[in-house]
Amino acid sequence: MQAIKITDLTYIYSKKTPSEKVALAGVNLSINEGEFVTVVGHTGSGKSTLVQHLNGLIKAQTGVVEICGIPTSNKKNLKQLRFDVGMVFQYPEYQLFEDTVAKDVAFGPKNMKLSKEEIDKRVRRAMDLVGLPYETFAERSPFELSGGEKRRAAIAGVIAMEPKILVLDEPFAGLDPIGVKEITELVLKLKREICPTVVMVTHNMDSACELADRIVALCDGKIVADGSPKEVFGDRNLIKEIGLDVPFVARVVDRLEEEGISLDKTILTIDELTSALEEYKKLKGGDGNV
Amino acid sequence: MFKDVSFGQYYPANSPIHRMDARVKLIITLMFVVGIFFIKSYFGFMLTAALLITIVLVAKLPIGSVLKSVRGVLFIVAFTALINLFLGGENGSEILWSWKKLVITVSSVHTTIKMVLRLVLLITGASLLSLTTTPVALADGVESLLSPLRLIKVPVRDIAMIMSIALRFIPTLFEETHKIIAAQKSRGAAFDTGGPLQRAKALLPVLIPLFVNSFRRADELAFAMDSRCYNATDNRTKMKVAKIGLADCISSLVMSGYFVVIMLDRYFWCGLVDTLMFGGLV
Amino acid sequence: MSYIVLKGVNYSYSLGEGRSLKALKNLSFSVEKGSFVALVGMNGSGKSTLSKLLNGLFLPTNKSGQVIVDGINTKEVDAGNLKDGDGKEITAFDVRKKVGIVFQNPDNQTVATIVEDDVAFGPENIGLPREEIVDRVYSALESVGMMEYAERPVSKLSGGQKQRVAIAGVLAMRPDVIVFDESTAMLDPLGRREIMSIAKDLNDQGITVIMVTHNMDEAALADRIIVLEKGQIVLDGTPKEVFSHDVTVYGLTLPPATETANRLVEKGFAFDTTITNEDELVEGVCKQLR
Repeated sequence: MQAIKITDLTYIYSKKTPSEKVALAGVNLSINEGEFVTVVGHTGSGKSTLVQHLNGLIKAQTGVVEICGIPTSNKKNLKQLRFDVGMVFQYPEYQLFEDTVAKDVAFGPKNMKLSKEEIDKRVRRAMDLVGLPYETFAERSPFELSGGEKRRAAIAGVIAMEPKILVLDEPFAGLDPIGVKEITELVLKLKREICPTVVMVTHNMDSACELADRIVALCDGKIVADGSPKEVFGDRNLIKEIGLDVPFVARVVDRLEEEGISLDKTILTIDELTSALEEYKKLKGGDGNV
Repeated sequence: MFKDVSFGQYYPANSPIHRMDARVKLIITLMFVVGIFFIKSYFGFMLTAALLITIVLVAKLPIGSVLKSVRGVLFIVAFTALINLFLGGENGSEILWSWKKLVITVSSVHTTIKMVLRLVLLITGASLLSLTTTPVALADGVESLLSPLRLIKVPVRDIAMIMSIALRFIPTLFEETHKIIAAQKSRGAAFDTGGPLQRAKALLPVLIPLFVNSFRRADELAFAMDSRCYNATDNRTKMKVAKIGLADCISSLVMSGYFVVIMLDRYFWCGLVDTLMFGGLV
Repeated sequence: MSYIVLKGVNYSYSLGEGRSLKALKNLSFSVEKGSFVALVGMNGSGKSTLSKLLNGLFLPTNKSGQVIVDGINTKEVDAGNLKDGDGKEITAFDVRKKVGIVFQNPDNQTVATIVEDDVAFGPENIGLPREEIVDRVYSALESVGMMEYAERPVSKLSGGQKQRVAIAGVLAMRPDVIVFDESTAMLDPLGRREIMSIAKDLNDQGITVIMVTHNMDEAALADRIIVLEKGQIVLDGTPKEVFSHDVTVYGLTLPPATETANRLVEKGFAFDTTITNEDELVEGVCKQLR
């Protein structure tokens, strides 16, 4: 089933003024339930505008956005849309506001007008999922948590709505290596247990390759590449043309090729690279003996 | 969109108006603001509009960015206009339209048109100051004009610094407010339903993080300022030293002339020019 | 020659009610003039506290702890009992002129709305004559490549550009040392690269650079890496020395090049030295496969 279907979406900021700026220019995109899609593109390519269409924060000017078959222009469904598409913004910890973590996490479910028992159940589940056990953290002030804990508390606030689709905008920004690792694992866990469909925006190409089944690259408001990480990053010319970073492993592959060592261009992980080099060495060793 | 809010934002250009001394611009703006409340005739408004258009042209400002500041207060203008339209009439004026207790008369139409002209011109005129003057120059101007107050121990330099920082952070805070609203909306927050009390309560999830973040920003800014040796003593110097130039003299003269004409029109000519120009219409 | 010397420095934050948090414990090290030092460690390891001690924003909280910058003890400056050769009092400003800090958040360190006004802030504070300020402002903007933005509003710049303005603001003070306190953490990859290349250029011109960072690729560019954990130095040496240890126990990651080389060693490759960057990796691999 299609979780997200975007047809001919165009969005222009400050329309008909001198500062007019085309953010999206005829975007077509379908995402199936269960997919993990990463949206990449340099700053100003339209990524944020695109994802804010998914829960109706931005209304489509021209074109249609459908979530689980229902157009986002359907006003009656707007509230439900917000609950179906969980949106985790960049630096979500800056939006915490309640005096206890539990209350903050309960904000979404309360807005859903759920029963008290259901709210309580969801808050516990969300907090446990993100690794802030309810027993220890429920009554603590979100402002006293560490940076990484704050971010997880904020994510719990979105997860507690139990959305069908999770959208994350730069979830790793500003974290230390441990934090990046923790959030990476958390996102995978949330995909398994709560929201089968995940859309993530990131600048970090290594994370993009590591996590996603599919990469959608935006440039000047248009989709310029769409496919598996191997397909997208395999096309180096395109990647450079649209101003994206070539992931570390791919860079090494290119450099080795310049030195006369040709490996498969679609190698993207350190595991693949080291195995390919091991293989290459064996073959070469064989030649050497002749 | 909050990003479009450009009221009071400096528009860089190379013009005599931009180069004018901020102190002169502050005083002129003050004269303008006072003057506009003395205007009662259409002639006065036309003269003011002509003056403003001249300034906009000389300052090379795009009309769009000037009108944007009016757009920001359009609601207030519309609201005032409505009130005046129904309640602003004089007794005995010819009735144009009425429904139950609501009455529109010829005089209320005139009052309304004048009110709208006054507000729009006032806002446009005031925004010309901030559009053509950098916040630092503005703060320096205020500091210089207020400097006599230092004799009675008013911390004028600190006040000027606070003003300059406040202006600097307006766009940052707008952007942040916008982000927080988007995030809370994504969690199902509604800002436009319920009674006034409910609406006020609905703003808490926006205001609390905004305040918390502002304190954090203030903290970091204080470190950054300290590390760059901030002090409010007399040892401070300035990169841009304001000097009274030709443009300042000319504009002071023009402005004084304008002020005199406004006063003459109000107290001596008593609408005579309007009658001459528009005949029986007024 | 040592430019900054720390001797037995403790720093504790007061948490109220007589409780306190020890951020730095008995820290001693010195920084050579003209060096490029990376300060790494996970969040909460004391890195940012340390950077604020380097220009006297913070003072050691223990009696015996000292921070000496170019011969000036930051504590004595604060007490006001230091005089220079001419009998003029040496103040905290003299230390801050020598050691400038570029902070993390691009939005929270500019004071003025317009770029050139902001860069002038420091020189104005120390009471330089007008011509000198103009001269410094434009040469600083030139060094960071922001000359054409001199009259633009800071709020319209990208994150990387804002940080470049912040660097110019520090440069206008003509410091001997610049501390980058996680100045790249909030930037996109392009912004990061810009800041790193400016830092490298400034170091080449003789300015001592202290780079606080989470990014191991950035740290690998330094001449020396100091690893902090829980307020103490756990490793201190060249990138090669530091990355020959398993830094993951301190909550860090290895640079991807080092990681790859380590995996290759497991698969029968052998490298002469510890690999810390892409160039060394490619060269090392080529040697063994040709």
